[in-house]
Amino acid sequence: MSNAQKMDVDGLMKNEDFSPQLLKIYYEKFFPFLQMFRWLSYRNDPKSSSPGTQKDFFQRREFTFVLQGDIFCRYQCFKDMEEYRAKVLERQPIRMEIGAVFSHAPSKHHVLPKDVYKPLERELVFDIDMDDYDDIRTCCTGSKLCLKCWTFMKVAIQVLKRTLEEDFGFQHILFVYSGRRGVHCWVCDSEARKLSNEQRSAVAEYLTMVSSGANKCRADLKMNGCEELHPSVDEAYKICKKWFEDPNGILANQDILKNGNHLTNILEPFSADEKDKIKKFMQENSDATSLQIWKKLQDLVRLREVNEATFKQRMENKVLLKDVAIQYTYPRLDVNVSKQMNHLLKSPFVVHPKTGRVCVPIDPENVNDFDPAKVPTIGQLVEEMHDANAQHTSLKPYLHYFETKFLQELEKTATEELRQRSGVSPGVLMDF
Amino acid sequence: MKRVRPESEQVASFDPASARKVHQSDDLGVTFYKYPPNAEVSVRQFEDYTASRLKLLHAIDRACNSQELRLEQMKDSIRPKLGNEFRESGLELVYPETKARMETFRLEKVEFQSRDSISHFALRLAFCKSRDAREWFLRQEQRLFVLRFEALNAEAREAFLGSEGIECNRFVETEGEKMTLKMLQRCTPGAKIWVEKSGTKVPEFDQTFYVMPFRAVPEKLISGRRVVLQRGKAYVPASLLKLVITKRFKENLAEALEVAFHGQHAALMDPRVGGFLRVLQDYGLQLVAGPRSSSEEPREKLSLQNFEELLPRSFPPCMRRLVEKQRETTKHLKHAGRLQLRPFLKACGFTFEESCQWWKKELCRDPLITSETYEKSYHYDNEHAYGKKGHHQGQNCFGCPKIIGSPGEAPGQVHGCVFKQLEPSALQNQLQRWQVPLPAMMEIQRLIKEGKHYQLACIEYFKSQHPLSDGEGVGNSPVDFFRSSVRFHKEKEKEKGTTSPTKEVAAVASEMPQAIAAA
Repeated sequence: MSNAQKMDVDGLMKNEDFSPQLLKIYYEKFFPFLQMFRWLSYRNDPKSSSPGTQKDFFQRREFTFVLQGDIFCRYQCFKDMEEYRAKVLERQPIRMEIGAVFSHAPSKHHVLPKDVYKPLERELVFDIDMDDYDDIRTCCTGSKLCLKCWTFMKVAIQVLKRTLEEDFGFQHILFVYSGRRGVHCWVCDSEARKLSNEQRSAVAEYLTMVSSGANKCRADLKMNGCEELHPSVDEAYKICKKWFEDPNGILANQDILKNGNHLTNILEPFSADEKDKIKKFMQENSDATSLQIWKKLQDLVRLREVNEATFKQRMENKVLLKDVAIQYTYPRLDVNVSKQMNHLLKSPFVVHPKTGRVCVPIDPENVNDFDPAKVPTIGQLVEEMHDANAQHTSLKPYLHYFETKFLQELEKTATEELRQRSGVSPGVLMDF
Repeated sequence: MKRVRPESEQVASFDPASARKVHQSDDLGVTFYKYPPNAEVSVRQFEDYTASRLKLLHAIDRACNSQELRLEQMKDSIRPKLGNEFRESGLELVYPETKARMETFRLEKVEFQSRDSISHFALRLAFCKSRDAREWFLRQEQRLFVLRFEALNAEAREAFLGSEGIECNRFVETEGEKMTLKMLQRCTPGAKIWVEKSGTKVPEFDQTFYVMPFRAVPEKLISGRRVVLQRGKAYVPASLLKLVITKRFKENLAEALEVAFHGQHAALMDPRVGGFLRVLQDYGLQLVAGPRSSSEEPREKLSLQNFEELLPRSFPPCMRRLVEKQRETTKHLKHAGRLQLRPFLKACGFTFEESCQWWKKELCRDPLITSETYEKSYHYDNEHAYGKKGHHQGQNCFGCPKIIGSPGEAPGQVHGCVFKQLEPSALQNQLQRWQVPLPAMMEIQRLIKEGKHYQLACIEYFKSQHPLSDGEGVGNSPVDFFRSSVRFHKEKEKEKGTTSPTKEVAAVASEMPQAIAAA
């Protein structure tokens, strides 16, 4: 997809990208029930007889089916993979959501007192939506999406991954295309699943550095009286800076300094003298790019550093312009999604009804290879299925990634944990 | 109950050096109170220990509240102020310095632990009943815990954390690892402490950091990025260690209060201490323990005849505002407002018939409400409040804590505590309309701004409306305000020698249970 080509995510799609008939085939032939089951049961096989296995673990997981006409069916639960598959094929939900693992099977929730039926485990989840970037997006508006604004998601994925892994020590992280204009993140380590609501809130706040808003051009980076920025801010900045200043990065793509009020707002804390210098530069170089103007701003800050006298000035300069880069690139999370254990989030591998696209995993190590316009639609998949010449369908690479890079790693850890819980040596546990 | 066994081991020869060493890492009886005391004391001692502790907790509350302190700041600003209170309470154990004390330290400690434990568990029973009581108790016990924990030496502190199962290892710089002490010092807000040195304040950095799983750390340190995290571990400066342990303390105690709540019945039925505990349950939270007007005391009752006179004179601001607003706007009070006002009027003396008449008249000022609407929709509430319908227990007037805790007013609603609900400018307007003199207004604004002392503000208001009064008895409940006001005016009349034939003389019965002596 060239830079100019835009994808209308909400527009009318050709008939062959989505239809109930196509969905039916998709569920029958493509949806990875076994892999999803393996993920969500974390080696708690209902058929296993090893000690330490919680046989009803999968059954206590809440699912939601959304049927045609936006009918929500909550409190769905399944005994095992077979029932999971059978029920989905029977009801044909146009969307599914995944909730927490509760103390009892969700189907029994209405007969239990409120403080008895409660969530016990739930993946730590994050939701990043392009809507929250509307005040800094200039390439597209509304439901349109292109590779330029998709860049916001790429940097969000990299920043989120770094923080979750290096600061919090989480290892089993899954990024999923939300089907339209965003990304979901599922953190599946058992420590993450056991976090309380307060702890989830705290992690979400730790990860929050910016808030959206018209005329907001800098992040409020508090130094809290310290001599240096907090390492997570610094590390995030390193990633943000790269994506901000890259010739194909956000500053250039969105032409930030030449659109709207952004430059005026950014210049606000600078002195009259400094503002004049910029004004002069722009008068003399009327076709200067955003990047070139940015470099000039950085020169100004460097000049300041030579003259800074007080502790306060030094601290201000440490943050100046870094806060701008962060404001325009740092991930904007919808923290409400993360704070509660019983929040329901769309399941990976479901299909977006407006676009027909499958919510596939995104490999965070290769963010540049992911192109939302190339995500397979179910129309496409069914076509490929009928093509005798095709070796495999477009879904295969995504399933392969899910299997090898996420699921197998997860199962290794889950097996080890199961072993520790039951005090049994690994050879005894049954494999799938 | 078993008897306390005194230390039976003999100290054969006394070696000061080793004795000092042993005691210096002593935990000074700092505890999570996991196990109930196993000692025998007299009823008198039980009451004394418990009353002392309650007095100490109130003293801590007052000392802290006037400064809205964070736990980190407690040691330096609060501890020095409470020297007397700690000594008097007998609830403090310090490291022995003299030979004499070292010899008796163990015995002293056992006795201290007994007093500490008994009084703590007794107060659990006293404060487990309502959410307000639990929150207050948790907060003060947490503060007391912090003060004691801070008095321990470093080894004792680390040992205590370890004994509570909190993985707590000292950070040691390792070759090849990116994390250095210097980096931690420069990035952690709590690590920089401003120390007074030869007249100026200089920053000093904490030299010790502890490594622990991030889940052990209070959430606000994570959410504010106030500790460095790496691979799931948090690096906590020694000065903030108390926050980690205090969080655990609070969690434990909150659970224990739940247990106490379910088990309180047996204790309350005990003939020796049940009455005492019940008194504590009812009065333990009192901000001020002034003479409480009992319900037996003859007093002036609120009636339809004296209503207009008493409204501006004796009504507490929260209730006065409700009546006046309803009249001014000719819009009937919404549910929360009625729920607040109704039992107050009842407690002040309205009979059922008077209440019905009054409410009918007032509500019908609103053009939307007719006599029929009243009968249909509002009459039942009165019957309910007077115990004639519903659960037949009637409605009691809310106390100040509950009114203060009311949710914010939505448009069209009027309820809650005046000093909390109104913005400073709106409050000023209201106080001016009530002709509160300027010095009182400023004091009220100050109390609210500097510590959210709504109840103290109300006492100020009372004092401004009742010159030369000391506001005794005011501040815990609107009914007390009303009664104190009525009493004040009665006494004024007595002094003047004019007594209206319809008014009764109120006798002040000072009921001060001996057990509660909060200053």
